[in-house]
Amino acid sequence: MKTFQWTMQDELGLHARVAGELVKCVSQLSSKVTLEKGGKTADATRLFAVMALCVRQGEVVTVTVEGPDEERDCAVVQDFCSHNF
Amino acid sequence: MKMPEHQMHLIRGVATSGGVAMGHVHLLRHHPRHIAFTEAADPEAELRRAEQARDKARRELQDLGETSSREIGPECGQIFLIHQMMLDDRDYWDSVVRVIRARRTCAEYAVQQATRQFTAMFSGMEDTYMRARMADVQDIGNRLLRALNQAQASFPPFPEKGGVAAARYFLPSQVLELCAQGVQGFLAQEGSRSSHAAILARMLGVPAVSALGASFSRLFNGCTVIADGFTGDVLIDPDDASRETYGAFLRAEKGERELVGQLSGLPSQTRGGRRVAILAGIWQPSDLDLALRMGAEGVGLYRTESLFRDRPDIPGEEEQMRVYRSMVNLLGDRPLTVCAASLGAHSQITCLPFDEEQNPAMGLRGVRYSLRHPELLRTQLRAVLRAAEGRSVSVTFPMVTSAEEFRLARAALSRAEDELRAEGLPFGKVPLGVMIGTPAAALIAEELAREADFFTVSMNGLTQFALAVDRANQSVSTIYDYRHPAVIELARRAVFAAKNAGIPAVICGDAAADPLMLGFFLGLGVDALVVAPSSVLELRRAVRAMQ
Repeated sequence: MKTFQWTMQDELGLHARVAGELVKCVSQLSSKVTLEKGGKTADATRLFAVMALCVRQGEVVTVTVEGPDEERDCAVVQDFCSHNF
Repeated sequence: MKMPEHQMHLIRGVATSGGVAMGHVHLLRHHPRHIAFTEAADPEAELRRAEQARDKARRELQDLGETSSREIGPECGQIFLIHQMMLDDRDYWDSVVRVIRARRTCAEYAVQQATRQFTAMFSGMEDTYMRARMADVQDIGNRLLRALNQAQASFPPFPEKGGVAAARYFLPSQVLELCAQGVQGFLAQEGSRSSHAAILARMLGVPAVSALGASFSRLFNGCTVIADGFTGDVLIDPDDASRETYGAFLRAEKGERELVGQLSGLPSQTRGGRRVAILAGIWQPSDLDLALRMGAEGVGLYRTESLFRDRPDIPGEEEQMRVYRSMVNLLGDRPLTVCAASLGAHSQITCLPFDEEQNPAMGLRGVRYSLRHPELLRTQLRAVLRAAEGRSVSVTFPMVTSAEEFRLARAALSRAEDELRAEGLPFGKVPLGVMIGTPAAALIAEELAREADFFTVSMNGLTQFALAVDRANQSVSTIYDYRHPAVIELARRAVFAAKNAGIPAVICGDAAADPLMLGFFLGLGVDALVVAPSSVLELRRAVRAMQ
C-alpha cells in the first residue's frame, strides 16, 4: 500500500472538471485508489463520491494506492495531482 | 378619473452573465413532472430499457460536447463531458438498478428516485460551487427520462423570441436550447456564477441575473423587465427614462455584435491573400475569455505583472504554472506569448522590495530586473516551461539593450530546462523572443536576430524612448507620436532584421491597432499584430478591406 498527501491548490477546490479527469486517470489503473479527507473516504473511480468529499482550496487529501502495480500507479496519480491541482 | 401612477420596481440579484436584456418575462416550470410509482411486470426488461436510454443519452452528450466545443468553445464541451461522466457514475447507476430490482418498478420511476437522491446530496452541501452541481445531476436525469420516453420533453418551446426566461434555476442543456430559441436573458431565483448554466450564458453572451431570492416572486408572466447582467439589477415595468438609457446601450451593443458575427470567425487576410495574425495583448488571465470571443488568433503578449500585484507574497512556481496552464487550456492550438514579468519601481508592486529611483522608467526594470533577481526569473521560466508541455508557449523579454542580456536570459532558460529534466518533470520547448522596445535594440536588431527566436516590436517603447517623451505627462504628450519618422525607421530596421534572419516579427503597442499604420506593417512583412481584445475585430475588418 502506498500513500501520499496533497494540498488542494485550485481556488475552486476539487471541482467537477478536475474530479472528472482524476476519475478518468484512475480508472485506467489496476490499483484501487482511495481518497480520504477528514475521516470521509471515496473510491477515486467514482465521480460523485469524489465530488461529495467537497475538497476545498488549502485542504489536504490523503491518497492511498493499493494493488500489484501500486508503485507505478502511485507515481501516475502523483504526477496527475502535481499537474492538475 | 386619474390613472394610477406608473410604478417601476427594482429587484436585485447576483450578476452572473454580463449584458442587458429588455423584454417580456416568461416563467418556466423547472421540474419534470412527478412520476408516480408503477409496478413493472418484468423488472429485468425495465433494466434493459434503462440501459438503452443511458446509451442514447451518452451518444447525445457526446454529440452535444463535440458540437458545443466547436461552436461555442472548449469550456462548453467540457461541461457536457462531465455530464457524460456523471451519467456513467457507478453509484448513480447502481442506485437506478437497485430501485428497479428492489421495488420491481419501471425505469422512469427509478431514474427519478436516483436523480433525487443525488441532487439532494449536492443541494445539501455547504460549498456554493458544489451546490451548483445539483443542476447538472437534474439535467442528466431529465435527459435519461427523455431518452426513455420521447413524449416527455422536459423543456417546452419558449413562447417568444426576444423574451426573458425566468425560473427557479436553469439546467445547462436548457440554457443551450433557450439560447438557440432566441432568449434575450435569464432570471433565476437561485444559482451562482459557478453554475454551469451561468458559465454557458456567459460563453453565449446572454445576460443573466441569479439569486433573486424572495423578490423573484415579483416577476409575473408577460411583465416587462430590464435585466442588467453587469450589476444584477432587474427593473420591473421600467419607466421611460430607464428604457431610453438601456435602449441606447442595447443599440450600441447590437452594432458591436453584428461586427462580431460578421468577422469573428473569418481569417485576417487582405483581398490579395496576405495573412497576418491578429493576437490579443492582455494584462490579466481573465481577459482571455473576451479576447477569444472577439476572435483573437492567440495571445501575443500576456503581461504577467498582475500576478504580483495586490498581494503580500511572491507567486510560486506551482501557482504560476496553474495560471499559464489554464490559459493554454482555453487557447487550445492557439499560441501564447508570456512577457517575462517587467518588475521594477515603476510597476506598483508591494510584494517585492524596490529601491527608490529618480527615474524608474529608465531604471531597473524588465530584463535588467530579471537578471538581477535570478530566483524570480527561474520560477517564472520553470512555470512557463512546465505549462508549455505539448503546447505553443513562448516568452519574450522587455527592455533589452544588448545581445549579452538576451544571452543571459537564454542561459537562465537552459538552466531551468536542465533542472526540470533532472527532476523528471515534463516540459515543452519554449521559443525566446526579444522585445524591441529600446532604440538600442532596434539599432542592433541584426545581432539580436541571430540569437532570438522571434521579435516583439514594442511601438510604445520605441516611441517613448526614441522621442524621450513620457506619454502620461500631459505637458509633453503631444510630442508622443508613433508615426514620427524616427520611430518608423527603428521599427523598419527591427522588422527587416527579423525577416532577413527568417524569424517572426510581431508588432505590439497602440500603433498595431491603427488602420493607418497597417499598410506600413504589412509592407514590411510583419507576421502578427498584438492589440487589445476590443480592437481585434475592427483591425480584422481593416485588414480584410486592404488590397
